[in-house]
Amino acid sequence: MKMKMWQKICVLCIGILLISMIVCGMLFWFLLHQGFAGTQDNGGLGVLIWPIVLSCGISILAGILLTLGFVRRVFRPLRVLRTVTSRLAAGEYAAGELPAEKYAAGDYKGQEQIYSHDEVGELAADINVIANTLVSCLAELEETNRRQAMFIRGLMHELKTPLTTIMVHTDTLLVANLSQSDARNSLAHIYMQCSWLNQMSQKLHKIIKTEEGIQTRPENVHVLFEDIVESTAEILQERRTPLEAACEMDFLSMDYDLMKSLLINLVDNASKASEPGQKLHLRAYDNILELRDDGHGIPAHEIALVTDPFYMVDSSRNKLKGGSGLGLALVKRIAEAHNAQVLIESTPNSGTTVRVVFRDSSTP
Amino acid sequence: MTKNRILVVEDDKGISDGIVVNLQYSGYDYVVYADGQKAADSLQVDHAYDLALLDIMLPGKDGFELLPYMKTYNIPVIYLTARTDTPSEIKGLRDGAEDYIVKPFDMLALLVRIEKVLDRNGKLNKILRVADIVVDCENRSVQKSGKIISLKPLEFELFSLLARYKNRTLLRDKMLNEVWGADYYGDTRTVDVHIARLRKKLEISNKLITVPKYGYRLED
Repeated sequence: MKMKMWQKICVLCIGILLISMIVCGMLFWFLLHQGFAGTQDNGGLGVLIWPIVLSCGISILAGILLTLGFVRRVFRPLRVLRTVTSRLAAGEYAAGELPAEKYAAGDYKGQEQIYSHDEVGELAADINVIANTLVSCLAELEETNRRQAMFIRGLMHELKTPLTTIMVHTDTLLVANLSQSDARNSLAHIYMQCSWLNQMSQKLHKIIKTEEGIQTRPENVHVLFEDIVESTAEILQERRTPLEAACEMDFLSMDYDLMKSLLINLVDNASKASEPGQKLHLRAYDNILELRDDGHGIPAHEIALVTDPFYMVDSSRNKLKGGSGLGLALVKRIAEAHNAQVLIESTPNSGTTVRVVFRDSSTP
Repeated sequence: MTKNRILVVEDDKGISDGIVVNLQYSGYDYVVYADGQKAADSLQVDHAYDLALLDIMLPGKDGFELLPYMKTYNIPVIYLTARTDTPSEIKGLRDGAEDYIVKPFDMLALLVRIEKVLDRNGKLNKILRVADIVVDCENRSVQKSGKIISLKPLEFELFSLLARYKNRTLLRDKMLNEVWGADYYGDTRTVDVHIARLRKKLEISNKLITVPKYGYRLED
């Protein structure tokens, strides 16, 4: 029976009216002809008074009882919904266990045949949508919060080493009577740590930039590759890990600066993982940017972890080479901001291939 | 005279260099390792250390794993670590480390802790030398070029403090605190007066240097 609430109430009112009238009429007839048959001596209106009063009274009583029962039934789902919303307000629900959901779906304590299609049912469905949205938003927020807390904890930890070095050396320079060479050495340490901090802050800045949303436009990949080769030439020459770039596509939609930073990070990682003499291969094809090295590789169980902020496969070796632990995290964030995926394939001691796969075809 | 010898195991070159330069200027001998395994291996050959400063997160063997080696050779351990979590601290101390210092730390605080640990283990050098002056902390005597110089108790305390932290500038406030006590109700000029007396008695005007706006430094 698909009826709206107002229709139901109309039907109810008419029904109660009809029932009352029938009951009233019947009683009136019965009392007039049976109950008071022998007392017609007064005559006139007096004869009719008692049957009228009695039958009216009984039918009003019946009407009141019927209405109460019905109204209670009509509002029962509202009461149920009320408990749902108040529990929601108190933040008690996790996703997937919402009574409102059951109610809207039509299996809440068998009420569905009467109510599920009226306004209460619609309300339940809406509350259900709100609740689900709320619950998933909350879960998302909690996840973001957790990730940020972890990020900050990682950052704090990473800051300690440079801070300690800077503090110890400045303290020493201030209070100890150092020889000139010792003093120079201390200053060099301070300078190195400061430049490391600066590098890290630049990476953090880029990560924040990706979170604020990026603007992409088609860029020439050939130009990008030339830029990368040029920017990394000096350090790669120093580490003796030459880079070979092969560009087999022309345009890709991107934020140029961020994409450049992504590739430089990948090249930097690859060269750190390689031994002098090993080559790095940079390639672009079919909306994929790929960097392959023949270096140390990443153990299988760590591949999923390397894009976590501050995760380092070999912490002490990486630190020696000036790694911040943010490189691949930045790569992942930049790729995500470009709607691209980072795929890492690696075999320990034989090399790593990182592919940045752009999902939508962005070539004009 | 033998210097106290300290083993430093720390993988960050910046930090170990900073510690080492301070140990050197404070008159300690030291050996540095950046790798836990290598440090452990070296102990079999040479384990004549009075103290070990261990980082916890180390390549090779971590600081917790190194502790049993140190115990074998009775070397007291101070942990120097970036790990601030209480469980690590409890583990470190319960396993038998003497102290647990969290990075970033204050260098002077580290030197004081080193000294306390050495003292607790009866390994602290009681004889301090600055140029031709010898301070015997046990007998509370000071000799200059073999000649005994008589100092008043407070003068002795002040001089031994300067001698222990020689080549470091000490704040007037710190000296006042250490020698006269935290509840001494006096002026930092008290320090200046005593310094003047020390310069006169020990003839060290050229070695006991005033560092403007900071304090005094006794140089070797």
